[in-house]
Amino acid sequence: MGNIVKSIGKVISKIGKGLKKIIKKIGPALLIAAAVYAGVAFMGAGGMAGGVGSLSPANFMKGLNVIQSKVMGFISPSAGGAAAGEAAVAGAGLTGPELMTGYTGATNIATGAMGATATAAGSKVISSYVSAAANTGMTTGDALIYMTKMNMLQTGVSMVAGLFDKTEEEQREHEKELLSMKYAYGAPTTDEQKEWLSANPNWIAQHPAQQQQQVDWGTPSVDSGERLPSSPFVQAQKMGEPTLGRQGTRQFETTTPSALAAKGPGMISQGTQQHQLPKRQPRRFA
Amino acid sequence: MAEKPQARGMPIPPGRTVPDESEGAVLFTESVEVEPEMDDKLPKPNEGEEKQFDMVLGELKDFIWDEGYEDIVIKLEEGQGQLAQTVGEIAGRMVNREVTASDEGGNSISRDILYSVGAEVVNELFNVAENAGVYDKQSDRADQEIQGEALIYAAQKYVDMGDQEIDPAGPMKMAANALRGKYPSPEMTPRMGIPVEEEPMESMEMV
Repeated sequence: MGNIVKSIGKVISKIGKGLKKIIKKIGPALLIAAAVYAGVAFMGAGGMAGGVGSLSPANFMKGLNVIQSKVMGFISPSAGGAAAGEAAVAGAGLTGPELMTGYTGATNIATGAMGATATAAGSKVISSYVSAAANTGMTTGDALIYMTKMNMLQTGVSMVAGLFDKTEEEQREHEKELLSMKYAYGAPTTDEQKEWLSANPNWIAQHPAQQQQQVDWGTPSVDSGERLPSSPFVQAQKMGEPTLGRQGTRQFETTTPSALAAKGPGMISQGTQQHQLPKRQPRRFA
Repeated sequence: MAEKPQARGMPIPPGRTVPDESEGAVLFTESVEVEPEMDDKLPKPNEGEEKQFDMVLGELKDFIWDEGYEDIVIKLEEGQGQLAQTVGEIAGRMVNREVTASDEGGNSISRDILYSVGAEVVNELFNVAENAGVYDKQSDRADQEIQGEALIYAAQKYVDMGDQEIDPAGPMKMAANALRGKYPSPEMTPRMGIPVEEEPMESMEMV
């Protein structure tokens, strides 16, 4: 992920094991395309210092928005980033077959996103970009412009449809929630546990520990003058009362073991006595 | 006296390197000549980077075609439905681990060569997939396209795994330059990946 993409074509001559290749190596076009994809996705991720962010398709699409608003200035200020739906399509300045091509691509993406998972939608973005860079005879810059236009169209379509962009984020949030639950409570592992969990989805709310936590000790409120319930350990000091300083810790009377305390016979003595008693009652364990 | 039966070695699983020196053999034990390279007009690596290629790529290729072969085939078969993503994630993971290990060993790897290393690994993995029957060779263009997708997934996986040495400013600048059409001409093929006789689409001209 350096500043430039370097060729290694003539460097690697005799290294490593392998078969005679059937599939030819990737060309420089797609090498550059991959590097440019990373750059756009970094833009979408914000190019965070100390953490470069993710190169996910979602960040790639965000990066395209950054490009169109800051780098290329595709949209006029009047249309602006708030342009939606038809306005966004019009703002792209596309006409004729270009519009249809872009619109078809955008519709495909949005349509694909409707019934597909976030991963599938993301793969569609990548495949569209690569296809544009490899198949249509565009330079990487052209492909990027094409994707930027298509992104605007896609944004318009998805805003109308009200989906697509948040799908992946929601999926991640959901996975995070599941993961935290797994570590917090322990995931069911056996079939019996899973069955029980499905039959008792709200078990945690009915757990005795939760019930104890629901005891209301009252909420102190300055405005309402409410007070905490009386407690032998808590005594509120009234205004004007002398301050007696910190009270000493109360000593409770406890039985203190002492060598002088009266005791019964010890275990050795008891054992000796048992042997000496001829008619001892049988022990009952029940 | 009973004759002792001749001992036979264990059958060699497919894909392993075998010392086959017969005429027309395509399997080699040590080194394989890479196919003739095109002049891609990309900047050439310096001497230190060339040594890094040998070190990193040699290890990875040995692993792919030797001890890692069977595990890789299993993973490719499992991800056959999304082969580009599967290959890319395997490649990104392998390159990241190799680069990290090399860095920790005191041999820092130039990040300028990562895309090219990744492209080589992706290509090796697709040849593994083809050899194992997971991927059927298509047209050159289709092969290029799916490898391009895999390379993007590889970059994504590499970054997700973490690398403190990555500077996002480089790719961002490259993207901005490519978009403006100001990428230095020696560093980028003017029309990439298309035969000369094809006309570019008029509708895709720059705005």
